[in-house]
Amino acid sequence: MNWRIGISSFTYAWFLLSLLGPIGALLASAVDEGASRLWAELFRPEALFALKLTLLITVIVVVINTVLGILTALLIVRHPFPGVTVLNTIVDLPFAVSPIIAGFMLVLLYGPNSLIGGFAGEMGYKIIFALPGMIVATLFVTFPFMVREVVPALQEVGTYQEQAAQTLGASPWTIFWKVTLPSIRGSVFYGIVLTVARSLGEFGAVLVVSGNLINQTQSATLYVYQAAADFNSAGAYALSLLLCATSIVILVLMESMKKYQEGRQA
Amino acid sequence: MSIEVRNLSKSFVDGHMAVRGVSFELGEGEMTAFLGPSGGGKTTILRMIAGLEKPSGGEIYISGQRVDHLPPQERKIGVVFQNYALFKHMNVFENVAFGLRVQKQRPDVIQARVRELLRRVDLQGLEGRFPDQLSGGQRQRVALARALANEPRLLLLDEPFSAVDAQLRKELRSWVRKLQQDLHITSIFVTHDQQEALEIADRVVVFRQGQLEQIGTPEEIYDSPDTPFVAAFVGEVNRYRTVIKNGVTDLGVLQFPAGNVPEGQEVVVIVRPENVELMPWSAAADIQGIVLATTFLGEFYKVDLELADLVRITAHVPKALGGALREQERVALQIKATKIFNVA
Repeated sequence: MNWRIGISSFTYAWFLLSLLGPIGALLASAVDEGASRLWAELFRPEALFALKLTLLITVIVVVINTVLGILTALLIVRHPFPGVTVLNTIVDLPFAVSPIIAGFMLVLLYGPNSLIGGFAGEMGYKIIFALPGMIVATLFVTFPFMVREVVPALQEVGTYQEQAAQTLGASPWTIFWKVTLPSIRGSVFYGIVLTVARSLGEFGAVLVVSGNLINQTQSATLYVYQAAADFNSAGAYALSLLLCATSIVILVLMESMKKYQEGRQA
Repeated sequence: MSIEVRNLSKSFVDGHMAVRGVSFELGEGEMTAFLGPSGGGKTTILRMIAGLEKPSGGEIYISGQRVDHLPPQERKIGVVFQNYALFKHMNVFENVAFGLRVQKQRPDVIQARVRELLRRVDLQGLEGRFPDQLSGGQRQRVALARALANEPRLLLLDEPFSAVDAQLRKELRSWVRKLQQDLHITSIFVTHDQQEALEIADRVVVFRQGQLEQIGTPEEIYDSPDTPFVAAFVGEVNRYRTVIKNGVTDLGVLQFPAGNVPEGQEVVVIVRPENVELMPWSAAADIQGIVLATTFLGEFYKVDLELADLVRITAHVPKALGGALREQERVALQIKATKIFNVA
């Protein structure tokens, strides 16, 4: 059984170096700076603004992505139309395209010199280098999460419960709220959690479309990036720790959700 | 409520014709069985009556009212699905209450009605259970109570007993039958089990490849089948293909009178095993045979015999007689009833 011990110790070592190590390093460096210093950094107006902006983007993205994701999944599973396989593939595009490139594509489409961006500019709205652009960019990178969670759930649930509801007189609207949605709620919750995690952490696409303007379009990850570049290590540590802690909380939440669902099924 | 179906047909997108011009009429308060092999179109017809499938042609009437253009919500038809399709995230009470809540009934009315239904299906005390905490039989009864909650004018059951084991199936069968009679609700159930159909239905409709083969009482279907297919589907048969010669079937020793079937006509002859009677051998007997094998089947023996000219026949004989038979023993036979069908 020596090879077994070998493989498991290698896995643990790898796990330590690549996953736990960085978190440890961040913690250690942050502790070096001292808690009061970090606390102060968190409450700098620029940092607070960045956190609030990230929160705002996350909330808006979660709402839009949940609605659109469920609708898209329903379309793919329940109302397949010619070309649905193409749509199904395109859904995964954000997984394959680098966020930076995604951001670049959005600038080309919505930038001030583009047709759409130019028209919006005429109307007095700014998309790129403003909040709408950052939301669109985050929507782009998070789009697959909800769809990919809900599609298999809908397939597994099938249509018999909905048909039963039909024969009992329920309208499509009632069926969606009372039958369809509750039976996929676990997956929707999961999709939301993944979307939140990704929205909080998105950097590349947002960097390109935001312009990274302090107190205007600087989100939390952009703030960390800027602070690190400006050798403000305490500022970088403070927000990094906060984002990292949030991610861990989300992870734990996901795990407990999984356990809860498995418990219900048993 | 009476139900009438006229020239109903259904072809699916892939071009498959599941139902081909089916017409029938069912009486009020009757329990009807849709019987046939899988792929016969019986479930598709049931789903079209419920409104879950859109007919490609034809009309459906309930109590004289045409319903085939109505959505399922407006047909007032209760459906028990094959897999029960209970709402998994709702407990037993909420499952049964669903239709009443949709109708926006008062809470006290819902309470009373659900309690009454659960009492009827013998599930008191299980209100708080979720479907995955119930046995197969209990699930089926919840599905039944749910389907009955809105007092439907018609109850449809799609293979209602297929998901439970044999022992429970028999119990549920007679139980559903009794409930149906108590409520006097017009009902249709789909089955591929001929025994089930004969046992609890007032009327049986036999389907084959999307077409109606025969409609009648269980007795008519069993004793006077319209086609060799129906005869073979609803029971065991000996089946012979031959021609009419000199006014009888040309089957060696099995010369059955042709009646008014013309000379030279190709026919299929059907003999049910229970209509083959075995007697002690006598040289004077018209039909003589040799026992090839006997098989004990619980209530009777199945006996395979060979007649003259290598014609084979199977007989069902009572235990007392069957147990005494030996292989290669010579016996005399009498055929008590046959059925002759023209081959088109």
